[in-house]
Amino acid sequence: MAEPAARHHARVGRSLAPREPAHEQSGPEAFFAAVAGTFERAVRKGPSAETRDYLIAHRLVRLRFAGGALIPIVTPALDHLRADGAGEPALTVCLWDGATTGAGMPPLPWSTLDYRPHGEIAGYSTERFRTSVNLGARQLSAIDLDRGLAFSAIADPALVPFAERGSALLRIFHWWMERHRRQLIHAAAVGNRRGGVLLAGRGGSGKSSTALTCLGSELAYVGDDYCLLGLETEPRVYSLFNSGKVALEDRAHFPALTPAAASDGKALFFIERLRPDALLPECPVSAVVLPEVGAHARTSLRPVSALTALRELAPSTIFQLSRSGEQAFRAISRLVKQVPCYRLELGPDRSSIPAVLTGLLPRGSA
Amino acid sequence: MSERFVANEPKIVFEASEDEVVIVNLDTGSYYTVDQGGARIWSLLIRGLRVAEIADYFERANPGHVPDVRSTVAGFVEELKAEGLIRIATDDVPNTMTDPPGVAGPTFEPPRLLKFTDMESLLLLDPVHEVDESGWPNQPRGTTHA
Repeated sequence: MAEPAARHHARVGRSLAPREPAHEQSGPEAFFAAVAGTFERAVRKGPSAETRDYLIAHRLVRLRFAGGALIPIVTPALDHLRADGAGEPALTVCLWDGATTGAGMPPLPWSTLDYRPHGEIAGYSTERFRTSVNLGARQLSAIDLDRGLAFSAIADPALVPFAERGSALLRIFHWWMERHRRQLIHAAAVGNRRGGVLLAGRGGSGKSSTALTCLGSELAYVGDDYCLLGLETEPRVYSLFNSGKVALEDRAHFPALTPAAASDGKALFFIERLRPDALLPECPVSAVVLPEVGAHARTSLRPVSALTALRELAPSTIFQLSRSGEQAFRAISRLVKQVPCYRLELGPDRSSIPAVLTGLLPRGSA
Repeated sequence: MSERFVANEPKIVFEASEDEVVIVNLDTGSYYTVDQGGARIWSLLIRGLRVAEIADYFERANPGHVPDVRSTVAGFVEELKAEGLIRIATDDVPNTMTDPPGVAGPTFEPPRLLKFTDMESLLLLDPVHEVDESGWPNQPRGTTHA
């Protein structure tokens, strides 16, 4: 994506004088090496180190934790994909926090003028390297795509944003998966082994509650909010996180689900803890469905054009993720032309949702 | 308006059918839909036809039935230009529409460009006013965390 520096800096609102680099090393490769050095110090200084492996969309990913403080924050959303001992990882993500390991955070060598949307750093996000800082959380994400090595550091575990508790390491997964024929998409998914539906739409459209309503039905839960789309010939969706979120005012619709946490007006669930039998790691995509909350007498489907689905799915995917852009747009364009697309008009009777969606899937034994 | 135009790629990405065009401006976060009438003009425009050639085409296809074709097409193209969705072709873009266009369809309908801006906020920067001695930005006021 092009970087409209002048426009964005105008919005910052104050004149920002470039500052001198914090240390002599500069450039993405040198900075990445410095980050790696800080992580190794965290491993040596920390109380413990732990490794966990996950099989994500057929790619083995290893998380190396320096200290244990981030483990209960990062891993619950990924626990359904745990695959320890499955072999050598294609991607290793090293994580630490400055507060409990005592290793601190690496110095940042760039200027305040180098920040770009999504906290990406101009000059430090290249074809090989990606670097971003979450300003509010004082959190660094960096990856060397050629080596399959990434780092995620945060000053204090207490600063991890609530939104990330259900979708940990989202940026790193997005950067790396995009290189490996998997496109992160902003959508929920439910289905069975023969087929599934992608539920797309903006926040508040009803996709999360539609996905959670399918728990307990013959439709299994692939994911909410973010899934991975396989870029092979046949469209296929892969589970990434087992989390689900609904607005607090909608919690009453899901009395059997006990939230793991609640904040920002939302309740967060981990389906792996509540209904592990209802999770599905992957399935073919049979349809794209756009839920719509409204004054509908009953829940029903209405066909929509491929471009209507593209308009609902592509912008929210592209602009929630850094450096997404054309590749994501093309992947979603291809998807919506491959499968039928529908508007799901949600009526007051939620119990009919699974049956309506099941009607879109290939018949036969799941 | 005697220029030829091209889609303003790579700043924008688009997908077009006979009935509709979806355009995303990757720089601004705005995205657009163009209705059937606009999709016909868009398909002719990005095939290298000038505004006058597009108007001529619709007037020939609808003799005596379509008022204000020229001004309507010109206004729509100006709107596309103002939104940064097309730019003047700097190279010699061939007119690839020597025969009556099957894709565009002969019926002229006033075009409509709908703009959506609900994603723009995702591209706004958090303010970075000061950094500490190690280069880390100071936490913006009012930031809340779980």
